[in-house]
Amino acid sequence: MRRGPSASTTPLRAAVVALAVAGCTGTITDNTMPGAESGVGGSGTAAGPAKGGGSGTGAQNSGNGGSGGGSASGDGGNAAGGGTTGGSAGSGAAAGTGTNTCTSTASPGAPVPLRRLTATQVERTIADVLGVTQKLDVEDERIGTYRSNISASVDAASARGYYDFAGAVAKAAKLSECASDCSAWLLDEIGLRLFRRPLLDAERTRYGALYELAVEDGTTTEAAAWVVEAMLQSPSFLYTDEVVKADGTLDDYALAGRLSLLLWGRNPDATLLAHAKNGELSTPAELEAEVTRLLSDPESEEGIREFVDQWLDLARLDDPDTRPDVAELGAATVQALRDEPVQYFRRLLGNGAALSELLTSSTSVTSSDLTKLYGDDILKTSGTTVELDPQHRAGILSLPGVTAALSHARRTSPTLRGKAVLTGLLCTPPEPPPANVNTTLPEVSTGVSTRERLEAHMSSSACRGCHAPMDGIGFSLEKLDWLGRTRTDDNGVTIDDSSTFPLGDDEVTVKGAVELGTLLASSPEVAACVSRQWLRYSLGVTETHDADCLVNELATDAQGSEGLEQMMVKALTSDWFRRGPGATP
Amino acid sequence: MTTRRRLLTGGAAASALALFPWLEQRAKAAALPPRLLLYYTPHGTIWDQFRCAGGETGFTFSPILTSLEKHRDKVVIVDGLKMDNGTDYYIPHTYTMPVVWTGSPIDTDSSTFCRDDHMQCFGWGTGTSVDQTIAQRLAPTTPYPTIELGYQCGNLHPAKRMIYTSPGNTKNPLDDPAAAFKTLFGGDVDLGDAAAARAELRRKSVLDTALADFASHRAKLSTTDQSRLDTHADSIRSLEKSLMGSSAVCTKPTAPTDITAETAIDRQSDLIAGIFGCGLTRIASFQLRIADNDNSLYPWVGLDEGGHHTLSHENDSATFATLAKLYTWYTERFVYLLDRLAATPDVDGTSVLDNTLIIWTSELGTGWTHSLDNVPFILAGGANSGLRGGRYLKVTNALTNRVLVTALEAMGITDVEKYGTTDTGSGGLTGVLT
Repeated sequence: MRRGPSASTTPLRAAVVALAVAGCTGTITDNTMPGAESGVGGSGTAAGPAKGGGSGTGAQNSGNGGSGGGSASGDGGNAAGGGTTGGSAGSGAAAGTGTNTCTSTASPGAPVPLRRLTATQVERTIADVLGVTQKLDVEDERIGTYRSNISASVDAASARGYYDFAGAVAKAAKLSECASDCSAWLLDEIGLRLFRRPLLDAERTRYGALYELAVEDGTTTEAAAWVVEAMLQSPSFLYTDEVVKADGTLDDYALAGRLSLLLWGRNPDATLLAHAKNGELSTPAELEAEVTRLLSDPESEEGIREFVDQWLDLARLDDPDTRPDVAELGAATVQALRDEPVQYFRRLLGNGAALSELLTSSTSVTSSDLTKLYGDDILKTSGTTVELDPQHRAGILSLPGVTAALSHARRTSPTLRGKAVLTGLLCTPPEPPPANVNTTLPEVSTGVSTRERLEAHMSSSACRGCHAPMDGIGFSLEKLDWLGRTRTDDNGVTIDDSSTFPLGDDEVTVKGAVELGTLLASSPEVAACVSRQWLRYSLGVTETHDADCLVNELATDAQGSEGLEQMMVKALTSDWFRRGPGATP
Repeated sequence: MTTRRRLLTGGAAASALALFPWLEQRAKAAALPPRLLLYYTPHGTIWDQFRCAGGETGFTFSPILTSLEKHRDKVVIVDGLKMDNGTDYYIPHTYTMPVVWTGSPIDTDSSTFCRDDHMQCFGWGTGTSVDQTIAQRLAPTTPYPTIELGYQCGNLHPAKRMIYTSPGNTKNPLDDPAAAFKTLFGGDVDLGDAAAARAELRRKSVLDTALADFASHRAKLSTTDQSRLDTHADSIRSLEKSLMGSSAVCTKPTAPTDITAETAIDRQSDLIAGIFGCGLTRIASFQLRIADNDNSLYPWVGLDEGGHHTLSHENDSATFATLAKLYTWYTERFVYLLDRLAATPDVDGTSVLDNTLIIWTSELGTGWTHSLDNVPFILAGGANSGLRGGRYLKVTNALTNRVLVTALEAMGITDVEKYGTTDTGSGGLTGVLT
């Protein structure tokens, strides 16, 4: 199939949203403009099948009517939806914030595939229920940046991984109840906690028989190990969203499971299971109360951690092969770098912040391991809460962990940083570089700054389309080095962190990380995108155009007082979140 | 409970053959049923240095193939097979990887994947690979219907997978020797079960209990989700059978050590010998890296910059010489595989190589032209594989699909004349099998 440049799995709104930001002027816009689709959708597009990457890209840009933003794509890497039907029904419409063509915040039905627990969720559940710390050697899929097991099947290697995990856990579990007969306890308590619902009659019979078989020639402890080993390999433990009601929404147990796995990163606790048992998650008010309870409980730290860590791709900090410079800081500092954005986010959530504060606040929750990296930027310390120098540090993007993650070993990468902003905060990910384009930058040499080296991107039209906004955003963060420390010069060159770059149809100018944060904080596009990120993470799938109305509402909420929490709660009480898997009606 | 227990433990008390039905079947058969191994390396060859001089039988091995001479009577080299990619437009490498073993084109009506440099979108392959068709037809009683091995095969993409269970559905190769060993031959967690029979009972009862849960109440699942659960259950069944078999019957391969890019292919070959020797499957495949694009370096053959794919686009003599060295090295790896299969005893006292047909090919014929006009094929196999070895076969006007039909015939499926939707010919490759 020939591809139009706007083919995308991501619904992109095309409205141009005016920004009124003190200190800078300009507008921010999605890359996809109304009419882009019609400009290139036909078969007669400019270059036709082109072997050279340059000409292919050139054709796309001309098709975009010179909007200069390049083309937008889904951020699933290889995945790109759209195509003929998507083009006409979806991104072809000029559906923007404010003039949205959506009609309902409800899901059109059954959008969610069956989910298998992530390795972290399995590990945390076992630690909670059985008190065993054991690593699960089964890989997770990634949908965009988020881990979500919604399409791959469990192959031989994964089945082996679960088998080995189950055996190791069963061996290590110290089940004191099983000093004597504990079959009832296993079926009633452990079964409930692992399967997120009471065992079915057939299951009670089956697991009861397994216990009896084992105990015939063995101890009760051994019999318990057999039962645990089997339960840990059961689909009832490994897959969520089991029971879907006639209207397509999850039953209370399944909903409890999904909520707890999302917000606490593990199976539901006894309280939540009791709520499910009593049917106390069925009304919107009950559900909202429960979501709020889970979110305000300290246990939600792990759920928030999963979201923030994956959203900002902080795992990049933990790869000694690519980042020996970070590894040299020592494990405690690496962990502190990775922790801080999570705690920063949690503090704002707990304080009833609006979403904009995520991009402007100079108060952080940090660890003494980062004191050295921060240097003079810490103005005041009160416990683990610190006031950072607002001249240098404002917003989550300016935290050392975030800028360090978006760097290469011992050098910054304005390109990576800009790409992360375009992808994670604006939901307009740039295309990957065309094949056959030389992506090697000039050698590092004395007296040449990173910014000067990146000028190579601007000399070629094939590169400039995407790199002007990417690198341009990144240049404003240049005073934060590869470990997130503030600096004033780069390779002997005094850093100029003022930057003018195209965003959509317009040019914006910002100076430094603080102004960039201010610019982004006031953008409804950013509010909508962060809402989308939360929705994607929660649902485990990339949302479709049908979610536009919901996203609009979430974005509006997010910008208000207590906006961060309201946005997150509303997403989880929405019809979208309560939908189960199932055959399309 | 006594009845249930007898049912579960009955086998353990009986002979090994009674416990492992796939071995029983093999032992009963007058001649061992043949095995099949599909073998892939990327980016074709350098024909000038691959082509052998001489006639069909008295030929001289070419520089690239010289190490293969020791197995002369067990190989057939095929010169002249043309691949039909089956689509109007052709993205080199990507559009033919799905064709290699399916004989069917890539799906160009889908837009699951896109290549911006070509302004094209596409999906997965539209066929079923011949190994999977054979497994589906024969319904083998081995623990695994088929086993896929590889090395550095990358993420899910049509240019990086070659085995299709059905249109659009690929199998992931075990592409790391350590993980492959653990998956296929890994030991058991010692739960303190005193006797082997009790450990056996535990494994079987535990896994059967978990398996029964797959039949639970998920009635409303989509067909995709249902098939995910079915595949999961199949994986557990294979695991269960392999755990029962591998402990008692054969000499398990030892855990691979010192795995590097230079040794990994040989370590996987060791596992292939073990897989066949232990009867884990009759049908396997090996995929070296990816079709689009293998830019790995192979410094030990002098390919230390540019990468395999980049170089394959060059057409100067120095580059050809470097690539010829790489392809010579590939041949040496293939010879190592044949050596290992020859050294591995089969249950009837012959060697595994005697009972295995191996087919080696690539996703195109020549890298720098992306030509599909002459895709190299080497078939290998011993006395009972059905192969008439010792020959250099020049063919004209024949599609690669002929080899796929030959594979079916060698495995005893003789009612298939055409294989794959690109197939315009008929029958297996003439004169290859006895």
